[in-house]
Amino acid sequence: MLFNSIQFIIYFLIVTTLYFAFPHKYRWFILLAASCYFYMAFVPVYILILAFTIVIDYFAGIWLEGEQNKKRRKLFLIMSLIANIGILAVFKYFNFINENITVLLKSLGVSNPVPFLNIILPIGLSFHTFQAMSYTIEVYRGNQKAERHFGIYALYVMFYPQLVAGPIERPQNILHQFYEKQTLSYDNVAAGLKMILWGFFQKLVIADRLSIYVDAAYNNADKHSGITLLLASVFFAFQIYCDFAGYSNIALGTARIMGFKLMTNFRRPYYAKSISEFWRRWHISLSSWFTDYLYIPLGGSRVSVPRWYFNLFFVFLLSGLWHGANWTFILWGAINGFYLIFAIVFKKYKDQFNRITAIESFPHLFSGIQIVTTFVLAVFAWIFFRANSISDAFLIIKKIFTFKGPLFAEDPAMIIYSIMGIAILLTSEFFSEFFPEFTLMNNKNKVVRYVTYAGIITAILLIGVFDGGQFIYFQF
Amino acid sequence: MLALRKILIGLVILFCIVFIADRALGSLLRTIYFKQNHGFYYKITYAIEKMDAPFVIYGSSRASHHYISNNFEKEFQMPVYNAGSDGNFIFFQQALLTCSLKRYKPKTIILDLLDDEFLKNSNRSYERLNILLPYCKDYPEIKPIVNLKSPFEKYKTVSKIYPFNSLLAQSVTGWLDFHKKKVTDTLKGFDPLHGSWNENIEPVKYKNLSVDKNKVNAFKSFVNMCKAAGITLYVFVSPGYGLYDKTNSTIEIAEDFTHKNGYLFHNYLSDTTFINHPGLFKDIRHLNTEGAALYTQKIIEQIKHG
Repeated sequence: MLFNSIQFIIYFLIVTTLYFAFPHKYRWFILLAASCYFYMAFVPVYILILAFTIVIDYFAGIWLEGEQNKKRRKLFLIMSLIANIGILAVFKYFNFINENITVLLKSLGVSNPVPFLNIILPIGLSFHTFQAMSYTIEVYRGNQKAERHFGIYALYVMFYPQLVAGPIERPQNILHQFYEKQTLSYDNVAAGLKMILWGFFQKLVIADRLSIYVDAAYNNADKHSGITLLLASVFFAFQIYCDFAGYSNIALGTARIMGFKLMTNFRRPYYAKSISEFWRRWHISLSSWFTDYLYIPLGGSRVSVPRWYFNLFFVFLLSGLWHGANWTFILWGAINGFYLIFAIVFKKYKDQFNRITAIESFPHLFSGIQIVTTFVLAVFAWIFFRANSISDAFLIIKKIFTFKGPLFAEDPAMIIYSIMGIAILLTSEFFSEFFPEFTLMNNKNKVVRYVTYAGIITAILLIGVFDGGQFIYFQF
Repeated sequence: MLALRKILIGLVILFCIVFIADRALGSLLRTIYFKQNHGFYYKITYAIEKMDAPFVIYGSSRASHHYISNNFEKEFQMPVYNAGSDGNFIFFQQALLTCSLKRYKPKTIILDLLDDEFLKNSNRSYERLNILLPYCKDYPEIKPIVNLKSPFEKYKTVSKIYPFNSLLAQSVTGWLDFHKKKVTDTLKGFDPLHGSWNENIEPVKYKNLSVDKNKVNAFKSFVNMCKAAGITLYVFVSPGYGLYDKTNSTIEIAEDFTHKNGYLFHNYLSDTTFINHPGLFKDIRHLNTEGAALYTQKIIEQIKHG
């Protein structure tokens, strides 16, 4: 069941009504049952995989808390991590690894006896695996009490708004909220509906519109010109953002209407002034997960300089791999890791250059240059993320830099709508970023607010894409 | 209860504003859409509301690029219109004929069928049905066809803007004659393609796709409508530049049903006049002007000699 479907709207209305209609003590059950139904709407049998990890992690949490012996505590944690990562490895990475082994063995003239698995990746597996792991790690660290209520723990992993594409929650933020009695509040409903509305705008008006051009260009990269591929690459940067941020906004909004506050996942990433800032604004729940559970345990920046570089690079490499079992994602992660290391290495030269040119004395210009530079770097990396293969990615880059041929504009209206959508997004985010007091959706004047809501709904009806596909991040 | 009341009041206010905006903008879009004088959408409106030629060609882009109306006119001494429409498939043809039969009965119809017309190859045939939404108000007979798109389509059309979704720019340009230079009105719906295809011929496989019953039913309905109206129907599959699978369920089904109803069916898909001549094609699915002239002549001979 997709968020951008009428089935979801009906489902959401029924679940929310039931949620508030039932007494507090039964609500966890309503939400858990609804979440199971939501997940089973994709591939029903895959709920068994979730059930398996839920049982393991539930008991691992209790054992971790009750155990004083450090070695045994570690053992329980490792057991839980192996169960989670093991499932992820089998379903997501087995065929990828096997394929690469096959290629390697073939080059040595040996055939690979290990067969490929005929399986489909369970939807959102990477998201709930990471969320489940954050629970056992936090219990192990003593930051979170083990959850004794099996239903509530299952709900923590399965809460339907964020089940298939995050945000990847932390137990400290969400578990206690399931115990709190949520009341129907105007503020929550208004805030939630606004997020949902903006999410739908991002998904239907921008992401799905842009995907038409991006798919046409990237799926036939050899047939398209450099300028077409450049435009498609810029479009993809906005497509991936609006697709994922749109999903996140709908997730946050649906949860908020029921009184739950999920963590913010995006903060206007294309207004970042550096790649490190970009990563503090993009998919925040995943970035912070990697920071808390991998980068800092590896030593973070409080180690020798080479080790620090390694830590950065390794974390981003894994982040790429998290996204998908394909070399394109791994390379995308590597490029981002490289950006960060490059920025650190050349920081003193950059500061020197800034001093000589006195560019910092023109703060608006300087900020503008930083934002555009960061955006260009992000777009370059996105080419690898979107390309169907590494060779396609290099072909696209080569074509972009040779800049030959005409712009593919079979349907100019498509490009006009795309640019209109991006312009609305950038303008809205510009004001949120630099003039937060100027707001339309949260304007003090009721008339302005309502006209804005109606305007967004009208825009969705007018130029939204209603036959768009699923959310990109569902595949992860 | 107070919160619920406040929420409901807010939603009612929003609903009223959206309702008014929807009605106002919907009417404006409708006016602009039907004021178009040129362009892709105008051709559809023309085929539905104005076309009165006794000889009509129906089909997708292959129809619009392959059948030269003027050549047919010269040969058969009657007005001919090519109602072929890019990216529109059998459901669209069924709807188009349903609408135009409300006004008049052509004497002769050519239906150009795609070689994979009935296969469950993609959702595109269904997705493209939204192109008919602007006409549902005046032609409620086509609503069941449009509703094949999704079970929720009828609810979406409660909005007056939705039928004109993504059509604003095209409607405005069609209305303001921006397409005028591209217009080929004198060609009576025929849309020539220039240039040639210089690629190697490739095999075309149908990937064991199953047959979509809705599409077969649409085709049968098209044939039955022609039969009921006493129209002479010809069903052709025009040439393509590929090495096509010999077994083709679309062609088997279409040929069988057309023959059963006493109409002529001919498959030119792998016709040797075209298959070894890339110079007659613009791309793998479409003939260029030279190819279209040759093909049209073949069709004329075929019709003349039964």
